[in-house]
Amino acid sequence: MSEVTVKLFASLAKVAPENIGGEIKTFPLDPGDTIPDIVNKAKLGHRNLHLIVLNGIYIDKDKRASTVLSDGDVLAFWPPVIGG
Amino acid sequence: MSWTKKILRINLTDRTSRSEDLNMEWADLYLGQRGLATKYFTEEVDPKVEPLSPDNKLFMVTGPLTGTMATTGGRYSCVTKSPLTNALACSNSGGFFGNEMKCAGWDMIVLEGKASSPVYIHISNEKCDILPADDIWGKSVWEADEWLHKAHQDPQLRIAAIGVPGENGNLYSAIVNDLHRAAGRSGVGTVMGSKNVKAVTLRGSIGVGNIKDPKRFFEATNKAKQLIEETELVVGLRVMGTNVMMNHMNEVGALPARNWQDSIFLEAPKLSSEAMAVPRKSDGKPNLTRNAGCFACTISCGRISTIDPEHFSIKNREDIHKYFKGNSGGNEYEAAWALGCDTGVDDLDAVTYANFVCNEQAIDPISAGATIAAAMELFELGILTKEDTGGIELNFGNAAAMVECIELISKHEGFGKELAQSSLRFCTKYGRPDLAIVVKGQEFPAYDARGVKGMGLGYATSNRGACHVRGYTNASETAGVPFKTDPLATEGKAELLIAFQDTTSVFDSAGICTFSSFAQGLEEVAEQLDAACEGDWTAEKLAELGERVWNMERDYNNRIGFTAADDTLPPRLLNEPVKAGPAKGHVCELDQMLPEYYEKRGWNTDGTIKEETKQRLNLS
Repeated sequence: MSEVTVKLFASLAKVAPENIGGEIKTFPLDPGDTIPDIVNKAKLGHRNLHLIVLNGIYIDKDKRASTVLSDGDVLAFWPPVIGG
Repeated sequence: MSWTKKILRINLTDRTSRSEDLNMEWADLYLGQRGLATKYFTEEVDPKVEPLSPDNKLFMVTGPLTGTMATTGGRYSCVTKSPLTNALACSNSGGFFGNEMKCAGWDMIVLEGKASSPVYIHISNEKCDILPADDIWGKSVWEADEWLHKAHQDPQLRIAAIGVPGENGNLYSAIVNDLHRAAGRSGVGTVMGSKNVKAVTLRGSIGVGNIKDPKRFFEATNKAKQLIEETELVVGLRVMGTNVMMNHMNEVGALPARNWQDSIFLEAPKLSSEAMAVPRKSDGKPNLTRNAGCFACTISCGRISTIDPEHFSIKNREDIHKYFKGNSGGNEYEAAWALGCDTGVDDLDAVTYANFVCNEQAIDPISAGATIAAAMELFELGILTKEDTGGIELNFGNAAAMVECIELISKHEGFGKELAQSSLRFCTKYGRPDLAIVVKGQEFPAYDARGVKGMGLGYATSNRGACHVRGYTNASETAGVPFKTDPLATEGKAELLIAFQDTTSVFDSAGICTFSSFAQGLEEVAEQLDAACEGDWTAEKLAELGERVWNMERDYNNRIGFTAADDTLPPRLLNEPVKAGPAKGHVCELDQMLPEYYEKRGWNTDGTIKEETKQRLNLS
């Protein structure tokens, strides 16, 4: 079955030793699933997903709905964060 | 107003001091802090001056908003000529030293000449004493801080000091204030040490009471504070600290590792903000104790941490507990990256300890970590041997070796003396200057310019050598702030960088923190300045002022002898493609960005400033 890996960072993740590199969850991928579909499956719709990175590439807010995911993709989510 | 309009000039050679009126025409053109002190410096100091000679000067300087109720208004800067880069240096710090200077009635303190023996400067409002420092010379910042508070019987004394490395010519010595806030970069502490000054202590009770229109200022500062609270991005800094970038930069494939041989560090999560929050097995406490704010800051991004009491690094360091009950400042992203990822070390407590030592002895953790990383690569290549290192097995990832190097640097002993000369000089000694990841001699911060190309242009053109806070295009390139640009593209990066560089120059000159720029813009800063200060302050005037400051710095560096040839990157960044991740196969195509940058700056192709640009900016 096709799968997508979700990694939750910063305050989106529960504090735990296994989550320091992102709280990792996997979700089944249906044909044609887009980023909002996975956000719904992950029940993250109520969170402010400021940064979404797909396989290391930042996805613009206006391209999230049209980005169709593939088997093995890794989606990383951050709340609003910045550093320096 | 808002400025105190007074400068304290201290002649160390004849041990005298005097008050001088601030040049208000220059204040209108250069504002304060970075801009205004650099104006004074460039007017007073020969560009050819030897940085560690008595003829160099060290300006400790506030901005007009320093010490006011403006959010983040606790900043001060150290302006001098850098012994690390031989270029202009301007190193900025928070804490509570800047506002104390303002409260004591001074916009800036100028250290001139050289004392014949170690001294410290004790300033209490208008009174300035130059006192013997025999009891604290050779001591750490933390020991000096304790001694000075006791000697003056004043727990409220604000202190900026150097450590043992700064006394002994380590080229990346910092000036640490309030125990763990640092004017960290470019060796400003080395200059202080060269003048035989151990510390500057401040006590101010005059206050900052000369706001032009208090009611309007109150409204303007409240508006800015509200803006910060409504900006989740900045509130995120309060929650996670700067080190939240560790996992982020790793995920986007632009986290340099092992002296920039790699752009992804698989062990980076062990050093991240997320890891700092996880309780450890030994005492059930996390590395992170709490957050911390500087004077008047409503962001409070600072971190206060502890080391695992069972960790090898503090087995013989009871004094750490004596001074701080185990707490000190950090880990910030840059320090955690340099002492960790760049050296291949994934031990959070080792990195925290090394960072504490940098606080304790006033060392720039970026340059220190990067120099150790360069030495590690030389060691793994067989160019550097155990005979050279004094027996240290200096392989990447060896936490004990990294800790030993930091300790030797902090004591300025043995192999630490070699590392104290910085990575460029160290690598040159061993015939491989190409392995020093520097621009103008200053070590890189934590963003791989092959994967975030605007940062590469920023490193190459920074007036103080490689630096991230002079033009943080990474905000746009990987985090979409204030708008998203493609990190792997070169198009448009010149214009983007110039906007960041000029805006940052304004924040650095106003006395406020650049982190507030994630929430407030020049409009909000202008409103606050216009309510606080004489003169008509608008966003347009500030934008031009920022451009003027940048060009003034550039012009002085040109007069020192820097040319377009110095606006470059190390060969590794230009020629060695990234091995894996989103930036795989990429180098930093500086040649595609630099000509456009010069053109948009109004510079000639040789890097000098066109006369018409100087005239437009009132720099002729």
